[in-house]
Amino acid sequence: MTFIDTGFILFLLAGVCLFYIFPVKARWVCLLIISIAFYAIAGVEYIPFILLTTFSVYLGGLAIGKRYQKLNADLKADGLERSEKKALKAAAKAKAKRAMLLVLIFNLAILCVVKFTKFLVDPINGLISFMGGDGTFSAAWIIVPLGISYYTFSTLSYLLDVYWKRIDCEKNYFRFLLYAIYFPHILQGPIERYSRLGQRLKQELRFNAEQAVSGLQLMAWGYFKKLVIADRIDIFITDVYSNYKETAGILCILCFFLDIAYIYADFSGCMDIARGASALFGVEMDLNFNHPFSSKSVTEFWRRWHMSLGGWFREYVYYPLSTSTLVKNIGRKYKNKLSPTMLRVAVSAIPVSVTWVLTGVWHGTGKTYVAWGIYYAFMILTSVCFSDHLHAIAVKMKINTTCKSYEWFQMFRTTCIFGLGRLLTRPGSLYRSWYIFRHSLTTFDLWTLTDGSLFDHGLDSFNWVIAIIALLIWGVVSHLEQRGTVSVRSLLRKQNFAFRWLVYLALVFAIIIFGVYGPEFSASSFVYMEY
Amino acid sequence: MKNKAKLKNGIKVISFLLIFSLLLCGFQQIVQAKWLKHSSTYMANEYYDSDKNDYDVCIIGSSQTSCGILPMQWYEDYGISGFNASFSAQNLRSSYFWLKEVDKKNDLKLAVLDVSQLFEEPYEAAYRKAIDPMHLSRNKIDAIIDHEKTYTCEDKDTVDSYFFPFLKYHSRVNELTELDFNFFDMDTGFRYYRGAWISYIVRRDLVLEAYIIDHQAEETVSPVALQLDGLDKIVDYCRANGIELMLIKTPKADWTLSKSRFAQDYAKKHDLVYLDFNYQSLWDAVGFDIENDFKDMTHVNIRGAVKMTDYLGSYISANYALKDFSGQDEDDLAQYNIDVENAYLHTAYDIGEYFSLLSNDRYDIILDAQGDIRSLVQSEALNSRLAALGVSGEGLEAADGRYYFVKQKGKAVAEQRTREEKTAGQFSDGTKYKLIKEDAKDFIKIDGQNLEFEHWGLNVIVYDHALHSVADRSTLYFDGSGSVQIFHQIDYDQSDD
Repeated sequence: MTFIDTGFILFLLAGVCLFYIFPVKARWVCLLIISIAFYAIAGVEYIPFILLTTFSVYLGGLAIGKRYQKLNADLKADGLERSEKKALKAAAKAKAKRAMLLVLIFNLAILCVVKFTKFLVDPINGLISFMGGDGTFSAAWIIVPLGISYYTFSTLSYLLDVYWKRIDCEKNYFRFLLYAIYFPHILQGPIERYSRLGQRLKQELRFNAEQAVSGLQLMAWGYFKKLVIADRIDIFITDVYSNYKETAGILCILCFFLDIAYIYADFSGCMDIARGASALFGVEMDLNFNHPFSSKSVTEFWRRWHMSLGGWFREYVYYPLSTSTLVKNIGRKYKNKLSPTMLRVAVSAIPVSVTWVLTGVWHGTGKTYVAWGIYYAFMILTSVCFSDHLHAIAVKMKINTTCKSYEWFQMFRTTCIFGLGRLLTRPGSLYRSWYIFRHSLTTFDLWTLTDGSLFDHGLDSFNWVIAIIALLIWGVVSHLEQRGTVSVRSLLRKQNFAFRWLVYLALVFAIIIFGVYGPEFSASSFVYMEY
Repeated sequence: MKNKAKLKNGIKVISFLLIFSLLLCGFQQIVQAKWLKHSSTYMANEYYDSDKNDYDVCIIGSSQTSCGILPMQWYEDYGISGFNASFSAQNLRSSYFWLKEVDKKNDLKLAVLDVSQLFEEPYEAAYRKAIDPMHLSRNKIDAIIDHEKTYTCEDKDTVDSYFFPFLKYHSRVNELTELDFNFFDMDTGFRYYRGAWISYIVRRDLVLEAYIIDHQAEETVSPVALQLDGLDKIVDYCRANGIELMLIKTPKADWTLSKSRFAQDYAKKHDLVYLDFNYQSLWDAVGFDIENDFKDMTHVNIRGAVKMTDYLGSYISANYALKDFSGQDEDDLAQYNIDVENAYLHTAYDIGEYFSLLSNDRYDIILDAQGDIRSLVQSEALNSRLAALGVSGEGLEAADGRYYFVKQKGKAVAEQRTREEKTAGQFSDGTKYKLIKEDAKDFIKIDGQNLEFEHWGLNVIVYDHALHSVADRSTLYFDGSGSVQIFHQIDYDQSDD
């Protein structure tokens, strides 16, 4: 069951009714039951995996927490020397580390096995065949539990936070299970921290009409982005990338930009639905997008795009690596041998590369995703390397880097860099990506925009008009929201109810009438559900 | 105070949901109208309009029975009250649910089932035609669940789209026509009586002499499992509910001896009657005429339907003890008879029969010469019949196609040569018409609608002032071999069924 199934709407409706029937203090239990039911509907066979992960992390957290508790008690004992205290701390830390590593490796191993076995089967079979064996391994038995990447990362963030003493361990396993399995975020995130979502789920969950209306608005907006925009332009993108050899370059370029709009509409739409659905239960969820296409650099972009994933990798991979002994030694070794810029590149190289390759692998298991990670690492290191030079050139050429048009140029540049990253993964193979890239730049065939070829890729004139109008509405709303001067939802809230209802009905019927869903379309599932 | 606010909010929410639901239902009605021209919609509308316990007999099957068995004729000739719940491509599982749906409101005594679908693969569109027009009921829910559980093709629609059809049909939003917005008046030219429709089409080029093909006797056939299971369900249901079941097979070009034998064996095994109209014996008993009685290779037209209905009516009244309903539906019967007469006129290709039918006082007739008709009016056979109609013949032989004659309520009211491009008048019921000649092509405008003539010759417009509609438009022409032929214009598409 995905957010775009009719079943989800009915499930949500039933879930909300049931939730508010429960006494306030027991509502978290109801939410847990609803979430388990949601997960079981997706596949009962997934349940043992999430129970295994949550229980192991819960036990790990508990062990670490108890160790620290004991340490605190030991440290309070009278007459301890500083060296003795230090020894106690070191011993406790070592034991905690062992527990943390054990659970961490165990869960990462589960994640790797279920996600990467299929990817490795062919090379392994090939190797066995090459060595004279029969090479008939099959990965058909592998189950990939729903949302495994999300709940594994969420729970591991909890484990590491407990290990780093950022939070106390959770003593109630079912509270912890609810945090991991909470149904609005199990499908596509955001990868929430226990310190935030876990705590919100512990509060008294009371009905708040304003929050519920806001949630419904957010959900409707999410469905609009997903069904009216993303799934409509996806028809064109899929067709162009499937017939890339016969498609004119200018249409490939159009497809390149539409693909950027597609992934944003799809993913942010899903997040809006998730956050909206969560608001109906009185639980606020973190933002996962903050106008990413207003970013002026790639680094800023990734602070605004899929913020929870970026934040996770920054906090649990990049920072630990940056402060690791290896990187520190590199810094020390080359401090006097390299220029400050090159030193920055040298010390950033390992953390940036590892972080981005892992981010790529998190998104998918093919070569394209590894290439995607390397691409981003390269772009970031290049920007570190050349930012000073570029700035110097701009000063020398008297380019005004503070004006609006330069900002627009920076935003456009960032968008193109992101689009090129999409081009590495979306067409399906690196050969295709390269072919489309080359073809786009060498064979324009501008007339294909007007000779009707545009309509040969799954979208007729009616659907193009709908897509363009929907994109414009989305653009205007995003622009107003981004400027921060107007919040469309709060603006709407101030209007008379007749006007508000008119807008709500218009939005809902725009989704019902113009949405790409149902048996005639077979609406595609959300892209980020695959991870 | 707090409770008052809560109440206010509750009323607001309910009002909003009501408005939303109403709009959604309206939208669903508009986009769902995909099968507006389909027999299942008409049949269902008629059925749901009927009263409780109106019917003793239910006919189920596909388009062959939908246009092949006329319950109104049973009622008129034998006092049998039946309802034809057949429609195009109705698979046997749908037949089962429709039989139950009809039985729900009636105390059925007999079910007549056409078994041709036994050997046809069901397809999604046929399920939609069967389930969409059914009102929400236990039977509909069971039909949807049955479809979900048993039908396994790639083109299968989702369960939710059966409960909320807008999920499937919303994509029709850019192909809607005036017909889709026509909620209340569904008349598109089809005539339905007790679920059966009157087929006005004749295919005169059919060459088969008999339908059962002997050389296929050794062919091995096996029924489609889903359909056979549907038939079993029908048999079980009838048995459990005291309904007699009669299996039939209407004339069908691809109904082979092996298929027929399978049906015979099945009927024998379950102690059922099986009448196969594809055999020469029954063919002769009914009196089918291959030249005039068929719409195509698998469907009879009105003439074939009247014959087959009569045979079945006589068989049923002789073999089943059914209540006599005579005298209970006379208004509909009068209307039905008018339609049947019009259908006979529309399917008449014999000059003698055609002019004999034209003598009905219900008809206003306009003759309009289109092109050179000199060779046509030299025909003695035609001239004498035209004279009987009231045509004096003055100006009829002109080569310029400018002849015009009008007969209303049995009297000739106008006959003239005209140089006018337009000749206007009004029918007996006051409906205005205008004959227009443009670029050597004639057409008649009735109530703002242009009806074009596609054939050169003497155009005949037959207007039924009782029905306030054109009963027939045809052209009499000389075929070169010395005989006068009739070309009937078909104004609406009956090909859907």
